[in-house]
Amino acid sequence: MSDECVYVMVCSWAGGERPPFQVQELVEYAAGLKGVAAAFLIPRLCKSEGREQARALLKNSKANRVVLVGCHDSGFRAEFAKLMEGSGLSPYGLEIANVRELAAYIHPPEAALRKAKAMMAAAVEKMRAWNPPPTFLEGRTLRRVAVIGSGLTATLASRELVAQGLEVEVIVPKNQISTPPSYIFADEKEMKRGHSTLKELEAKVKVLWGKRVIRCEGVPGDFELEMESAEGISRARYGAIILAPEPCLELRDLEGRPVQESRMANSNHISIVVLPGGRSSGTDCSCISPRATLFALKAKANASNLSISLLGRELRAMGKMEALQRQAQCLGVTFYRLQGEVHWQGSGPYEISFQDSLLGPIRLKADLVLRDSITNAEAEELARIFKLPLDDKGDILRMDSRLRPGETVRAGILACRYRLGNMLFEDLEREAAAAAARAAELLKGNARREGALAQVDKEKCSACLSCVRICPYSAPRIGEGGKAEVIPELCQGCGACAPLCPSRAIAMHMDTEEQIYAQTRALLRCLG
Amino acid sequence: MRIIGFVCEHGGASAFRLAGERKLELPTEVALISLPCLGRLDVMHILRAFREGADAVFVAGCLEGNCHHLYGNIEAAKRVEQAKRILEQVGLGKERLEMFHLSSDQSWKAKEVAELMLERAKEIGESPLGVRG
Repeated sequence: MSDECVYVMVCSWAGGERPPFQVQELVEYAAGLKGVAAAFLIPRLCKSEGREQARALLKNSKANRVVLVGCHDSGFRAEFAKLMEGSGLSPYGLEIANVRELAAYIHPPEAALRKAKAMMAAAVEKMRAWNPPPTFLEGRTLRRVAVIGSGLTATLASRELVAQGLEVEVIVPKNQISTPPSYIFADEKEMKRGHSTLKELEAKVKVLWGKRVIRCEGVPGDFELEMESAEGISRARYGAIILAPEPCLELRDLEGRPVQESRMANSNHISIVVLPGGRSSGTDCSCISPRATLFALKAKANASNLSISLLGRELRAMGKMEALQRQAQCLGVTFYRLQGEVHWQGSGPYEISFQDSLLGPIRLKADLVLRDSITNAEAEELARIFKLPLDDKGDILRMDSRLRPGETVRAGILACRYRLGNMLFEDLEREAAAAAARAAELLKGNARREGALAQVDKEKCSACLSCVRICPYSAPRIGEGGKAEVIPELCQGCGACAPLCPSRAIAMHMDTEEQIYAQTRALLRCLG
Repeated sequence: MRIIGFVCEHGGASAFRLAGERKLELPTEVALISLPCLGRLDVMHILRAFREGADAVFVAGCLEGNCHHLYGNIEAAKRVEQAKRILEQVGLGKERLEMFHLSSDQSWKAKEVAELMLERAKEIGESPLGVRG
């Protein structure tokens, strides 16, 4: 590349606290490398002093790409890239050679210096072969979020979105938001929060009742949803989408009907057995959930003539639940430690038989048998319409509940967990709020369409669909003209498409063929 | 001996950097090329490394099922198998190439991988291509 102008900046701590080599030697070596316009020794690049020096050096220079030689700090790269941008360079023209971790710390002194030099030579060659990626247009970022669902999670997510200052439209497939049963709240405060949300919702957000989403197109910042309802088809645009399938909050009987709290309060002595969750009868992984315990506690407190037995392999009683479980026990709720499967006969009254791990074989008679969690078709349908995979529990697959809460495989589309399972209301609340906060973060600033991405050369493309099929982010698609194109907003630059293309039509903006080859050559030459 | 390791940013490179932070001693004969994801790896990259003088090549990335970009590591495993067949056919021997899976915190495994490949290279001997710096 004839206009390459590489600046090499060696951090004074490239060798660590007790460097096995003279850091100055690295600077001299770099200055002698082909293509390097200038090499500098900079004090502690991670401190403001070092950064200011780097900034000053870049600002009035001809440098258009930088190699940093120092240590590894995962947050540092993004920061330095911004610094480069502020000084008029492309933020993608940066390579960091971690000589501290990959040379200074792991080899004896002479070898460490040799390795450090090899790494620097490779980094310089990589940047010499680099071309600035094309900048795309500035994309549109709509600060309006669609929340889709008919239950409590939708209202919880909406509340957080409103708190974040975003415009919210709730698309509810049903004609009303279902009221949560009282037994999912551990105390009065939670119940107040749960119910107040439902009232606040109507005043602060726009609700589209009875609409079902049938299609979703677009990119983060600018999605288009197509919806159908009794009135016909309508379309709307949103910056982000939160899928909040209705959580299955109520305990249901064996026919799938939700249990009526009022019915139980008025009954004479009836016995209730609550089976643990799972799709089929009494299979493994089934605990006595907080919800089952709360249900038993409240039912017993309201009508002491009820006999309630809870079955499960384990009891989930964390934090305040432990006190509530004790209360339930004192009120006469029986907890059985289930081993193996539960069998039942009859259709109300029922005869239940199972094995308790301490008491041995047990037989119970029950007027009502309830099951703790049932699958909800809303999540599966949403996954189908939005083309999202499900996880092994049947919920929409989310990437990482701690680092990327609510994120699905599609950028800009978030999902809230719907299976209550062993969660409490406050967990549901937290997950919904996390997804909402994440959506708000994604919509901060303006969407820009650029990056170290993949690009298709349409002249070479043979429209074989290999890239379309392999991409984990659904970034390539066949565009007008019948050739593949990569949607910049979706591409994450992982490069899985490039080696698969039989026509060699896909080029990456970073880690190009030339760059990989340049590094290979430089390393093998220097390894000697 | 000269050994090239293709590693992914999330799994392989992180494990090697952690080994560095832990100050584990690693063979000096090994140098790494970092890719955004192992899905980026092409058979040609491996073959070129041998052509430029590598005596052994390894590919190290995320554990199966744990690829940050979902399945790049599985794609890479296929490329490694293809490359092994070619190496066998041209007389370099498939032992010069190996695929490893590790997670970003398995610094000891990074050391093991590097040492294992060095052992392999010493057993088979320098590459018959005889390309010298």
